[in-house]
Amino acid sequence: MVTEPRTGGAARCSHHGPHPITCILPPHMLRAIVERGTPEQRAWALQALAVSERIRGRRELLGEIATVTATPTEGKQRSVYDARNGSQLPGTPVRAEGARPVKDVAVNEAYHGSGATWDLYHDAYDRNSIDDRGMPLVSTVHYRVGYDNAFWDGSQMVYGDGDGKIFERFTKCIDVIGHELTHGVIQYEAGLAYADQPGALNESFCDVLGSLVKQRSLGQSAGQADWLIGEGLFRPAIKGTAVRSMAAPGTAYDDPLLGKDPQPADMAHYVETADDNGGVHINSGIPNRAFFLAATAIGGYALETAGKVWYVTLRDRLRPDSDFKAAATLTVAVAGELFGARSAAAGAVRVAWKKVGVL
Amino acid sequence: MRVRLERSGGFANIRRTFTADAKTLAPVQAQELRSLVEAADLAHFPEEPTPRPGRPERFYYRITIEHEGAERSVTVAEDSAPEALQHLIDWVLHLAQG
Repeated sequence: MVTEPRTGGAARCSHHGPHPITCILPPHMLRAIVERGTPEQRAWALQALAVSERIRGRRELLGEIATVTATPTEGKQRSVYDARNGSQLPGTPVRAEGARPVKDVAVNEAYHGSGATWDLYHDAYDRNSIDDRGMPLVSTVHYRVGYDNAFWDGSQMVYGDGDGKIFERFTKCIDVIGHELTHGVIQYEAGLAYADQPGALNESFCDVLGSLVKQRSLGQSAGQADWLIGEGLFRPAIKGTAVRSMAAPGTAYDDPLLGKDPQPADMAHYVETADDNGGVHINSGIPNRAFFLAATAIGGYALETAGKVWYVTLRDRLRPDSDFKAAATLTVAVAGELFGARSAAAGAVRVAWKKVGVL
Repeated sequence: MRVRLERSGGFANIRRTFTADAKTLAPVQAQELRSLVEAADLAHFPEEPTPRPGRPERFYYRITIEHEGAERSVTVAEDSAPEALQHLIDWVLHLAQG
């Protein structure tokens, strides 16, 4: 199986072949190919390394070879497109990086919100965009007609205008933008499966990072933040302040048309359901509240301590099948490593998960 | 003929139901609805359970056709609906929101 890298490796892992995930060469060999191979061999070896790095969560690999390869893109590279109420993506380009604001408020919100998210990841966590390799941020607004949704499609963000009766446009809330981009980060890191507890963790980490983007943009400490997700996304006629509440899951809305916010605040009220991919937007209330409890107990800016613990856990520790208990155990461990096992931070994280019934 | 469209999932995970009933529609619209249902050909659509894991934030649509005492339901993720079915979904949504 072990062959001389330049020839055997290239033969086995041809760039014309299937996805490089099928490549069986060990990372040290791929690194050798990156350093000494032909440009073609370097290209696929780099790709294979990037994939194996994501799978193993070993982030040091690319760092070592960064100097011998094309350097990742530096700085924000945003572009906003207009779907003009159609469903073709990305649509018509309307604002590129560095361009002046346009008249369309949704375009400017998508531009500004993706920039604020990029800045949070970069400034607070030293992350270079969604993939940590400088990936350009692509957003499409005015997707379909009256579309009540926003999503990350695997390579870009997509925003609807809302129906105007229940929902406003989805770019209106900066935490929604941070949430969607974080789905991209998770895709490149923990890869949390979008079902059941791993799916609820996927949703929760998106809410946590989305809320941190909002808190940072407003200069709010944990004590000052509203801990709401999508505050202002509902039209005024709807009885509700937001789509979700991290501080008090289950209390965000209660409306004759929409029903009541179904989120549980602790494990005793965990919802077993086949809907919503096994309740990914429902049971996310439990880890959401754990983060709120930890961040407010620690105090100060949430992104600095609790946020760092959650981000590092997402980047380095969680796996596609991680459940709530794993997230709890791992965040406690990471808090101990970052701030000391007997630190107030580590204690606050442990207490938070206990309060929501996970530990 | 009656078409019931239940939308679930999405960023807000709020369930909405939209209906289109040929009995209460203008004749032209009723005919449109019948043609769209016929084109969607749900009788030959596999009523498979929703595949999981899903994809972040995407809507799910459960479409139920009631016709001459019979009922037929299928569930699709919004990004996996065949084109003819997508036309029917868009038409019902447009009618409800128009």
